[in-house]
Amino acid sequence: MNTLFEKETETLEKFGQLLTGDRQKSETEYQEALVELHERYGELLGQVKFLTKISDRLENRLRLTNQLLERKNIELKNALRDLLEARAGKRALTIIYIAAALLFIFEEVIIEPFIPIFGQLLLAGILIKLAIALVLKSIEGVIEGRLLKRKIQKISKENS
Amino acid sequence: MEPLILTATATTPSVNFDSQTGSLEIHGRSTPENPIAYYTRMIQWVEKYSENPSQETMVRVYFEYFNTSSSKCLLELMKKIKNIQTEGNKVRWIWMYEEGDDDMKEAGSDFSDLLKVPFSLIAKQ
Repeated sequence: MNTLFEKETETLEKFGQLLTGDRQKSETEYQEALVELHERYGELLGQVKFLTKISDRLENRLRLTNQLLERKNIELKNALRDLLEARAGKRALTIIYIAAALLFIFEEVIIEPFIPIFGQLLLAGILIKLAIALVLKSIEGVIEGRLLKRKIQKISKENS
Repeated sequence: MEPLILTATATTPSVNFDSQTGSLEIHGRSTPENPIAYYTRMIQWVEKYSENPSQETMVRVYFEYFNTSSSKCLLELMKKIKNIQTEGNKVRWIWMYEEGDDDMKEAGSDFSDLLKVPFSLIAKQ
């Protein structure tokens, strides 16, 4: 077997020669050739039907595999995003803890001694600490968002 | 006659043709770049084997996947094996498929219809 359709090509050439050949053929020769051609055509038609069915089935199989891959890809992307969000959240929290510790020390050591100068506000120290905590909480969200964005950009860059 | 043993790769099936036992087995995936080259070896082996076949030839085919070109080559191979049967020798055809793989089961049925030989369609777990 030299080509995929060796026998079919051979048939085409054989009967082509019968039509174009120099020698005049007898009616019996044409009849015999027609019988053979009919038989081979039937065989070819059977193969065409068979190969079309196989091909359609393979296409369907590939389509289903593709759909499955797309679904898995979405699942994977979601899982990756969740993981990145968790990591970014953890890092942002660490940064905020450090910042909080530093700010509270700053407030205790630097600001607290000056509070009596501006009046005897009893709750001034507590209010300042509360303000610091609220500011830090909103900053945490910003830091988390930035870290996540940076990580996603890094991953996209690595994959492109 | 030397057996024909070909190891499976990611794109070609494993082949184990043994003239002593009359067992012709093909198993795996078939998407070779050049299916003609791969299947010609099998066809040539079967042509030689058909000159002096075993009392009973058992054809066992188990595909996970094959492409269209492979199916044409497989058909040509099976036609050669069918010639052994046409000449009066006993040939058993077993088409195996993974349980639940209806596509592969139907492919076996199509091969059987086209060749006009009965296939035993066996689901493998």
